[in-house]
Amino acid sequence: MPEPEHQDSKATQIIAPGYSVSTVSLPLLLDSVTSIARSESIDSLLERTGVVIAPLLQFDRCLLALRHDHSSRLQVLATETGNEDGGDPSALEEELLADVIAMGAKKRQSTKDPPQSILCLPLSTQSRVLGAVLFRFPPAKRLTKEKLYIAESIATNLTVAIDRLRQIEDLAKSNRALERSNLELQQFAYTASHDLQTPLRSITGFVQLLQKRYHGELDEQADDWIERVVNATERMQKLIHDLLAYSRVESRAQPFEEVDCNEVLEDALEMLGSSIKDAVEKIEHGELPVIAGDRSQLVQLFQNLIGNAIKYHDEDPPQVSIHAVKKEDDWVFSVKDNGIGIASDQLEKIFEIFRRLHTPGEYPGTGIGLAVCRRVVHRHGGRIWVESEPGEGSTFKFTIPDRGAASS
Amino acid sequence: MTANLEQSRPAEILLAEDNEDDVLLTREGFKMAGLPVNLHNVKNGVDCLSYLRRESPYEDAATPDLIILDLKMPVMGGREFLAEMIEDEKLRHLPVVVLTTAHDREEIMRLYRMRVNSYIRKPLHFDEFLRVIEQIGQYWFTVVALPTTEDAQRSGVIRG
Repeated sequence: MPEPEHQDSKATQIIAPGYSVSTVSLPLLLDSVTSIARSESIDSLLERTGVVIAPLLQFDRCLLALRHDHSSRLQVLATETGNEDGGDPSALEEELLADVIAMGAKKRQSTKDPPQSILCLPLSTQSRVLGAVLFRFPPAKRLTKEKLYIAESIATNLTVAIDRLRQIEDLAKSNRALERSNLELQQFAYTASHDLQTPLRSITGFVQLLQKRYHGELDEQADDWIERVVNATERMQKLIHDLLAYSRVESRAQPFEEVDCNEVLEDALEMLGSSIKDAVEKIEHGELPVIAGDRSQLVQLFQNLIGNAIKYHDEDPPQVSIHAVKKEDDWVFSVKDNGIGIASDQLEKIFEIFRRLHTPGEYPGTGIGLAVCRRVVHRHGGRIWVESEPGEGSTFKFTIPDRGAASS
Repeated sequence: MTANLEQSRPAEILLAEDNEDDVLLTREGFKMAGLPVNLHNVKNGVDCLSYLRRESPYEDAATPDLIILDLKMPVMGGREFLAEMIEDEKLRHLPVVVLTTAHDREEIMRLYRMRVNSYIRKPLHFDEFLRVIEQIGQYWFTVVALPTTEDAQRSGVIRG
């Protein structure tokens, strides 16, 4: 850094009405502004500030005080010195910093013993005072108009930089907190549904044993009650099973790999098993693409959509067709059925968890399947929706980004 | 039904399972499947090892024809038990069936690598559970030829 000789320089540059800065100090000023703006943390900002601006202002001491959100206590975070040693802030310095922060207005003060002049500037945004910066000048160096201007522009720059860094810190902090609570929630949902299985298995086991062994030996009322318990525990098992599947989308997610959707479809049909062979008149599908995804989740997605397509039918035997077309950067998949269709005011609601349009008596289900579908599609960066009219069948569509587009 | 067992004696099964209800249901399952078995129960891997090694209080324990192993048990779970069992020359020949509610592909692979003979997911429905119990019995005690106690002792001596 060049020697700060600008005090003697006659060359000046008008840079604001009423202010002028010598041409020698201008590059220094720009340097310091850049340095402040580029700081990546408040600590490094504080470390740099004194060093960078010392040649400009020729102070012998610079103090920075920051106000913290949750305490009125002032903390002097950095003691940077120009030409002299630092040391703790004096009572006068502390008082000045506190005053300026409280008032939000600058203050100048001269003392005779020791002879010095002090300039203290608030670091204030439009809405609040973040802190204050204090410069102490030795008696030999006068506080010129130029220095005042430079000090003020540095204070402005510090304010902007600190405000920005604080916002980044706050954002990172709340992001971390959100991530943590999200993770805890996922873990909770998974563990809760998992641990519910154990006692339920006992209940189911014994009540089914009871039914098997004592059916017809008690009275009709008892048989009926036992059957109701058996049915209810089975519904609950399905519910827990589906809840686990839902929470697994996030908590047991696998990294994406290349997945051939033709194989995914095959697996899904196999998983659906006998329910398909018995019920379906026709399943027809086109050539499906290779995409980047979580294979077992995609199988689940196809399984749920095809399972629904088969389940929600009226007298006509179900027909299902599955296709994919490329549209810009996405693959648009469609699963079309000839089933009972969906009323237009329900088209969005059906993707919500536990949302059912039918009683278990009409069509069995837990109201989780489509919520799982939506979660899986979202995790793959796509959208899911349904086009339907009552009595006209439904077409569920979802997008998955094309591999090529995703990687570019 | 138990043609392959020596002299058609009842099969000795060691069930490592900490949940009392599951033990009862498994016992009933074998009973309902009409399989003559002596079902012994231990609550964790440590006891399971003691049982197999005939340590106190299991001095008079019968050598099991089959071990049915739960994975989640206190003190020592199924996996740790297996790791120790396969290190023991005198125990490693014993057939082990893992019967569990967990289903994790990697876990299944790990267990087969530990020479587990079958990994079976515990069905949620009691009827299916009965079927599984029946199939375990059918397969292990009528289809498969198991090593006799004498075979095991002899090979143990030779190896030892």
